[in-house]
Amino acid sequence: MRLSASHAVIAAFVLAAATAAPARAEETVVVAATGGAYEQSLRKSFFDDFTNATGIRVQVVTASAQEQITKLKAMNQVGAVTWDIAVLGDIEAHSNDVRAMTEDMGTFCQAFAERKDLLKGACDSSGAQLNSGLTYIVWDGDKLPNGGPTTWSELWDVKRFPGARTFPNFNDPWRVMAAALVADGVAPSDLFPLDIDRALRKLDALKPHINLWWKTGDASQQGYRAGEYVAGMVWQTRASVLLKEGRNLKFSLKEGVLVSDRATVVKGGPNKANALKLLNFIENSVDGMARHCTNLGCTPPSTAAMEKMSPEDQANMPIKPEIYASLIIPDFEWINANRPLMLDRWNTWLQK
Amino acid sequence: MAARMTSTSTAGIYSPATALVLLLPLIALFCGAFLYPVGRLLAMAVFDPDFTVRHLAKAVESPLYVNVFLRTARIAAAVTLAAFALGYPVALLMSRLSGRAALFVTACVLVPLWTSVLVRSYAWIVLLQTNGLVNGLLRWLGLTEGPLKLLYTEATVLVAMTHVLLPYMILPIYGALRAIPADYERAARNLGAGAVTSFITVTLPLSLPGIFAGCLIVFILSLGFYITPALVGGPETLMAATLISQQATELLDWPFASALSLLLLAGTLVVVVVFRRFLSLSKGL
Amino acid sequence: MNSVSMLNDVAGAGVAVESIRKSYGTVVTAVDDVSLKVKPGEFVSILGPSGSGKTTLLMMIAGFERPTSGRLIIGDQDMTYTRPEKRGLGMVFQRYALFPHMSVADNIAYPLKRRGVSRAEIRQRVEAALKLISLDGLGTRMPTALSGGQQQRVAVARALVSQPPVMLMDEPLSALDKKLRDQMQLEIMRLHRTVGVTIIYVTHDQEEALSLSDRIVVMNRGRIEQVGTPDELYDEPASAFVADFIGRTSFLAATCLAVEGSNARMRVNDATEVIVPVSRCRDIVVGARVRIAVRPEALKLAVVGSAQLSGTLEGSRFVGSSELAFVRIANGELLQVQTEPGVSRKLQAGSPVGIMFDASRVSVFREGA
Repeated sequence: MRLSASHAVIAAFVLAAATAAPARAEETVVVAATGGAYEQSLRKSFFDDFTNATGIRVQVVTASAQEQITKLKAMNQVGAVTWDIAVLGDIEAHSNDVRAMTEDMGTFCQAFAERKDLLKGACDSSGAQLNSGLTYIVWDGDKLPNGGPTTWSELWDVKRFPGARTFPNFNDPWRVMAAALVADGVAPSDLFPLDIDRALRKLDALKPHINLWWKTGDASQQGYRAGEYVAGMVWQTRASVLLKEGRNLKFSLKEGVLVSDRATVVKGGPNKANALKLLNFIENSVDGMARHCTNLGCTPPSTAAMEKMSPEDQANMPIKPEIYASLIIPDFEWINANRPLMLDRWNTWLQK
Repeated sequence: MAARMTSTSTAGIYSPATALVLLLPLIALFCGAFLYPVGRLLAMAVFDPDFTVRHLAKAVESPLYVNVFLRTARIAAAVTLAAFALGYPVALLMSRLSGRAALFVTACVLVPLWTSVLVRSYAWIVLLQTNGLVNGLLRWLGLTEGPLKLLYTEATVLVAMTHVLLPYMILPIYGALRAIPADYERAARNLGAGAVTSFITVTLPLSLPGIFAGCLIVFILSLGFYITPALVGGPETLMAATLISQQATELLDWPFASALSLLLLAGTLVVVVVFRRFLSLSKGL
Repeated sequence: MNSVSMLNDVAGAGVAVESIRKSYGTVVTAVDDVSLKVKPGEFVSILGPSGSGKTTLLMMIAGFERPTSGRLIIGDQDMTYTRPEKRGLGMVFQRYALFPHMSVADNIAYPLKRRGVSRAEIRQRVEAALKLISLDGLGTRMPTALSGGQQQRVAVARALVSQPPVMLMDEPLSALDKKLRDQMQLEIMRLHRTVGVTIIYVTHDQEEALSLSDRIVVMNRGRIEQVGTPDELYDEPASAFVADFIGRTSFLAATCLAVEGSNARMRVNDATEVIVPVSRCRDIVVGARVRIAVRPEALKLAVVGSAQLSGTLEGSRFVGSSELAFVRIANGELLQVQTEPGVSRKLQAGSPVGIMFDASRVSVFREGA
């Protein structure tokens, strides 16, 4: 009895060890990306076509951008990288921390140097842009029927446009600070280096009116539905969801904050060749880019892709020259270098 | 006596070697998945790569971090108190009921435990938001003119955390109360104590071990609470766990995140030691 | 003796239970129309098997259970619905129920504190009580540091220190071993004599009840079977249940053939006829099936043929001052017969034996009554 008991335990171990080794018969590529609608759109716009064309299966690991970076760092430390591609925000993708863990994509990009349709920076050594999105001003058309704030300085004007405000608070405060500085009269082109003191002083004035500090895109949507705010700063992708629901939401493209998502190849991943094939496929799939941004309400990195989208969708994109000139464009280098300082100042300000 | 008998009889069936083999997976899991990573994490706080107290000093010197830690401790203490005040009567009721009623109350306490913390926190959002049920009720009753700001405040964090952690307070107290023979309270009543006096002089002191255990669990869980404050709290209710996650995931400053974790762990251990001291005192009474 | 005088000036109070019922729901009746009068200073045991309602009755007297109907009078006050703390009774619980978080002295002081006795007097009375139970100097100990017998004495002291007129005891000795139990019985009797308190004592142990009590109440299935002195219960059981429950008893099935003057003629064993005085019969009519209860000492071994009954010896047991012979008679009943030491054990098991019985010491009950 005693013998058989311990034998059973040993047998169980052996069995567990034997089944733990994964069967790796087919070609795959592992992509880490935020889940939900974003992942769905990537699949329908690019991955399914890619698999049909090449037979390479795309396996998606769901993780937020911050989780991706943290896990990448951990995988690098233990020397067991299991991802091939990471899809990150443009700013994070350009940070020294991430660049140390990803391949230099400069050579890859040379193949697309002649493509006139690609926007500036669509492909650089930090990877290939998949989409750009605005963080912009929205307001409730029911509560402000005679028009709402279209610039940051108007958003600050609570007399002209009364009602509760919303702003993001997801540990990445530069957008809010940049918006405050533009509201205070700084030209979008002169923003960096950010004058943090001036930004926070400007924010002091609006703070009592900020009812909702959203941490997730979902919270900003839910807050709008629940009437937690009348106007404020939200993601374009989330606003487009509310518009599709038929809500009377109005937005302003002017002075929006433009940030892209970038796909890049991870150093030491198991299927590097497949990863490059996938990114190459995406860069050449103008149709896919158009579909992806139709799904999400974003801006594709190719003018050819934009032309394939509906006129309404094109109207929602910040490509008119006078709008484009007003956009707030992040300075990757400055933001990455000053992240700890900004977060410290931001936390202290929030706690005041 | 009964416990000793069972332990010897178990030892009779399984040899020490078999017991060790059976325990091995757990020991391996504990060492590999807990001791090693936590040890490495904490080592990171003071080795970078040579020994340094730089990160610890940064945490202690900055008023921001000190304030966050103090707030965390304050909220944890308030949640513990609230959970005790709400949980003790429930535990007492549970210990007095029998049959269907007992089953019902126990289910009411346990079912939330099987529900995700996320869901329970979202439930509070639905209840307390501007157009939520509570505001709707208040307006319907004519108690308020416009909607009150109930969500994203420190009070909401207290309410939601107390709700989420309540079972952890109720169950140990219930266990302690159930272990008190009914004859003690009968004896007290027989000896001239009214219901209240007999509760204060007999039932309450005898349930102290359960109270201390419940308070300890709730306080410690509160110190490291992450999801609920993040969901229902306002920006000013920054707590220690959120701070640590910012440093670890946003800034990738792992040494500093480790230093903050080390301080939180040290604080937690101090609380455990103090509580244990109370516990042994109450046992020795 | 000063220490005893501390507890001594109690006047025991009478307790009257009047038609008390306790039912749970509509199905279970734990105590069914029980009436009982306990005289001041009397020692009354309530004896019965488990489930007989004896503990429920005690709980109602103590105030922990509300009677469904009936009245309870303690002293000259109706206390049917009085809260337990207002009844002023002492009580000793089965497992003593000493408060484990209080010292021995604090335990004894507890009822005095509740009654607002001054600190100095409390100290004095606690010391006196400790002396009375021979535990002086152990007041600072925790109850768990005492032996079972010591805890028992503390529980008695705690119950008596406030000088209650009535003390209730719920199987107080059941947790002790036999030797200690005998010793504690003596102490309880001594206390009862010196203190003069009325004691209502619940037990399932008939020997304990027989040796301690002035009177015994035998309960069965929520009803009182018989109330009487130990002698009455032993010699004149009111029912077959009491006869069976108290002392050793053998039963003989019989039929009542005729009543002739002061005697009744019965046929036992379908053959043997015996004559029993009518005074030993309860509720007998001619032709009725009856059970004859016989104590071992009312039976005698005799030579086969000359005896009233005959049977086969199955074995015998030495019980100290005498022996018990077990004899199977023809209809299959087993009788216990008391013999002089050495008599029955000389006989081989399986030997045929005759049995004589003393008809003046049997009790006859109707079958099924």
